[in-house]
Amino acid sequence: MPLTFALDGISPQRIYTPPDANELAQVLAQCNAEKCAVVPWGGGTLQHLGNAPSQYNAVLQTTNLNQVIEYAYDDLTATFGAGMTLAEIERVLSEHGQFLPLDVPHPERATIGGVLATGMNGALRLRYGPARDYMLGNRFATVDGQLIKAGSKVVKNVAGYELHKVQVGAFGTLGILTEATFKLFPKPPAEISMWASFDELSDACAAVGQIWNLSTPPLAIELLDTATMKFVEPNARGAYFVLARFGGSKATMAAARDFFSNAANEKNARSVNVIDDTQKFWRAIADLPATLREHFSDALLVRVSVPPKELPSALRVLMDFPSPPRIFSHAAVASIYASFQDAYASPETFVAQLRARVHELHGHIIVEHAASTLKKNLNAWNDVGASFKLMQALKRKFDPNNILNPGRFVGGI
Amino acid sequence: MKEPISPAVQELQKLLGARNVLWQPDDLRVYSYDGSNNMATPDIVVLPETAKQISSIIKIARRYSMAIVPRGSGTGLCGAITPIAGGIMIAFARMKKIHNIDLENRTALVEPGVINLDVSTALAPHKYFYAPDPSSQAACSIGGNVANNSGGPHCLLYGVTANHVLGLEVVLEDGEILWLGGTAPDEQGYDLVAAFIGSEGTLGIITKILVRIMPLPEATRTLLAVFNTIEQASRTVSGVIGAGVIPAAIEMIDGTTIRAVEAAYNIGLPLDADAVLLIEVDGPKAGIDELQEMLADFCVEFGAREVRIAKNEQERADLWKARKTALGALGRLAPNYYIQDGVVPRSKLPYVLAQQDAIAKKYNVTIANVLHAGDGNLHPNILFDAREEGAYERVKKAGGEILKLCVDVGGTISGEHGVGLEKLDYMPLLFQQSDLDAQANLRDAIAPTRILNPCKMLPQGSKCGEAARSKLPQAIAGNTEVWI
Ligand SMILES: Cc1cc2nc3c(=O)[nH]c(=O)nc-3n(C[C@H](O)[C@H](O)[C@H](O)COP(=O)(O)OP(=O)(O)OC[C@H]3O[C@@H](n4cnc5c(N)ncnc54)[C@H](O)[C@@H]3O)c2cc1C
Repeated sequence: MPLTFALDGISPQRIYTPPDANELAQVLAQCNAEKCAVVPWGGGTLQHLGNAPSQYNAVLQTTNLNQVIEYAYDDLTATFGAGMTLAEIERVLSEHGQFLPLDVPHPERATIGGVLATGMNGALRLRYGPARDYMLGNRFATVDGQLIKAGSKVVKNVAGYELHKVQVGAFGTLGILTEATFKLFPKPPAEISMWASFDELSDACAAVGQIWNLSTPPLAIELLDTATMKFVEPNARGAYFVLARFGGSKATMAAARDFFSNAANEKNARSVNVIDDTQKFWRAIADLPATLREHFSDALLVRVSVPPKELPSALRVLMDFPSPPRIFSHAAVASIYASFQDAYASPETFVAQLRARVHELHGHIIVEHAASTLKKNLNAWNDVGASFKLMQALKRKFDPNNILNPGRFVGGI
Repeated sequence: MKEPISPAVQELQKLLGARNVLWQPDDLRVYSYDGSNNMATPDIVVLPETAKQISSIIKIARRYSMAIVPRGSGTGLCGAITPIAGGIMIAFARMKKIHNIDLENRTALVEPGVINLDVSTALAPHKYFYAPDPSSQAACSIGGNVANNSGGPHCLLYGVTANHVLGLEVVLEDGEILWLGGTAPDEQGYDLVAAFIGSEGTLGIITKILVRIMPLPEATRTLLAVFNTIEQASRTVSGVIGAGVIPAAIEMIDGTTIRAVEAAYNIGLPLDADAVLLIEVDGPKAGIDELQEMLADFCVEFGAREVRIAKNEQERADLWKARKTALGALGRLAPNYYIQDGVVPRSKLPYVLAQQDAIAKKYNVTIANVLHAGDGNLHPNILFDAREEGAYERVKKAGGEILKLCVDVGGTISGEHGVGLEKLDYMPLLFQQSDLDAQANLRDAIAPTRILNPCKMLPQGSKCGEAARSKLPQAIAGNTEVWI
């Protein structure tokens, strides 16, 4: 299928695929002069996020910015062009036993620029933090055609404002990332991954808390239900599943195995299992947001974020809806994906209701996906409150003509 | 002789009570300094207790066109609190409450004046800690840490302050009190918390900080390795990291510092050694002894002539003593020191330290090195006597060359101490004008009037101080101190 770059039924009139960062900046400046609205495009794997663009004239692909710009493996740092795919990055780094802990869907297509711009993370965020914690600096193109350097290439730097971090999660509304530098991580010498099944959601949640507190801290803890576990371990039996990944020395891994079993059993686990093919297992987990969207394209997919201690309450809120969703969760981080199958009579009311409930738990939701006929009436974002005026001021400074991804971000930015 | 009380002081006194407004020269003097060699005296110092009061203070300052300079504990090393435009200094001595420790969410909510170490002390009974640990942690404030994005020895493994701050309450320059960020992940909209961290008090006044806390590691092992040459020590550092082992901390002190520490505290380090490395690993008990052994072997392989291993908490404290007392001990060698804070890629440490030696010779200065070596963060302390004519100028020139050296090998001019006034002139080494303009865009979006800590962070012409001062109303007598 040829790429159409269509978004919410709108297709761009122009497609730019500049050969390098300099030209990308030139094209952007030209678009700005013509007040032509631009959608930056990496691998297109996350373009479903956000609201429909209010105007969309040109797509600007980062495909050609796909080089390793610098890889200082003995310093554990590297700089990648924004158009490099995560799979390619993984290949390059694994030659030196290193990695970038960004386990997001479709790594063979997802680009580092797109993943940063959307602020996406995966299960490993529990141990390694969100990308902005280990991104050291970047370059981005501004609407007036400059390539701006922000941050640095070394592991510590406080010279200047943290402008590079403000680009993360800004959905390309302040500039277009052209490269980014990271602190890398050595692969743990040994790993072990395990899962346990539970009949009761409350037991599964309690196990999550227990495992999070183990003296061998896990790299990731996930909570899945039967529907989502099907995509990961098709033969697993149970209502809820808690999955954990540990990394460290061999001796630590042996201890982790016992700790996990004890913690799970203490919370009435039905079965405790060690995973053989960890690679495949964690790939399937990382892909789950996309899997849910693609398999259940008529369902409403929301991501719910709450403070960690509210995880049980948030899951209860979700499960108490008349037709409960399929769920999976980066459990200790308290980020939950919920896929509601029911074609609700009024999705606006439904989303508003869900927002209000989650708000009571000091959390928020983002509507990640809805059938295209419904999406236009739904706001993907929460109301961000009083700080919105600062966000508007930032937007005005960096994109006065409002040509970068207009209308797709919070509050219509 | 009594000075007349200015209208601004009167308004502030009404707001805060006379006790919490300092304006007599004698009272102001102690607020003229930070840990660097810069100084200037504020016109007024206020000691508020709430964000609301701070909001009112800002409104008063604006009415009198006075600058606002927030001040933590004054341990900063870059002149970030030096009030070169005079004005009102906000001190946080009365904002030291730890509001809440939430173990289930692994957060603590603290006021900006809370001392760094007090957070970990309060957490210790719960077996938790707050990871960022500047060497000044017994004195520096969390507000100052956030504003400087401070680091510390254990940031090698745990990351700097920015990685441990989840939310902030801030007072903007228009007096509005805003809450940014929060405990739930993936806060929507632009990452304004990230923008405020490391902003050196130029974007807003931080009045509450939601920090991430962590369970104390089950086990800790500390070793100290003695080397005949600094080159061996620095090769060990990049060797360890390059082999994929990330200890919790790798600190280095050089021969000059060793001798100063020995003279002051006699802790039993060999006087003829050229460097010691202090390495700490922590984590689960299982496997920690193997890790310690592996590191000891590494040190020997790279030429360590002796490796000491702490057998208990007391011995651990003893080993750390060499590092923790280093700056204080330098007073033995010279009355003044000028500390730099460049960062280089770890693999460049041997080269950079050798080049630094050459710079020291060229300017005929002595440098004592204390490094967060694992992060490639250099702290060369250039020793001098301020009474000697031309000494400070010479020292600053040498410091400038060292920073240029750091940038030339792909590093930066400040790893943790900040830009403040000290590094303003060196920002163009790192950034082009367009990069600096983009940073100014960020500042101007949030704090366009520049009333908050003016003339810091971004170079804006050498006349910044005078220009800002000329705006002050006549009712407030300008101080005549010079800043050096
Ligand atoms: C012996 C010694 C060792 C040190 N070791 C380290 C180290 O290992 N790592 C490291 O990073 N630093 C180190 N430092 C530097 C210094 O301690 C840190 O920069 C520290 O964070 C400063 O905290 P403070 O409370 O003293 O802040 P101050 O020096 O008072 O202020 C620092 C900055 O914070 C701003 N500020 C303070 N409070 C607020 C607020 N509430 N709202 C907005 N802005 C505010 C000020 O305007 C200023 O820009 C060391 C200093 C000394 C003297």
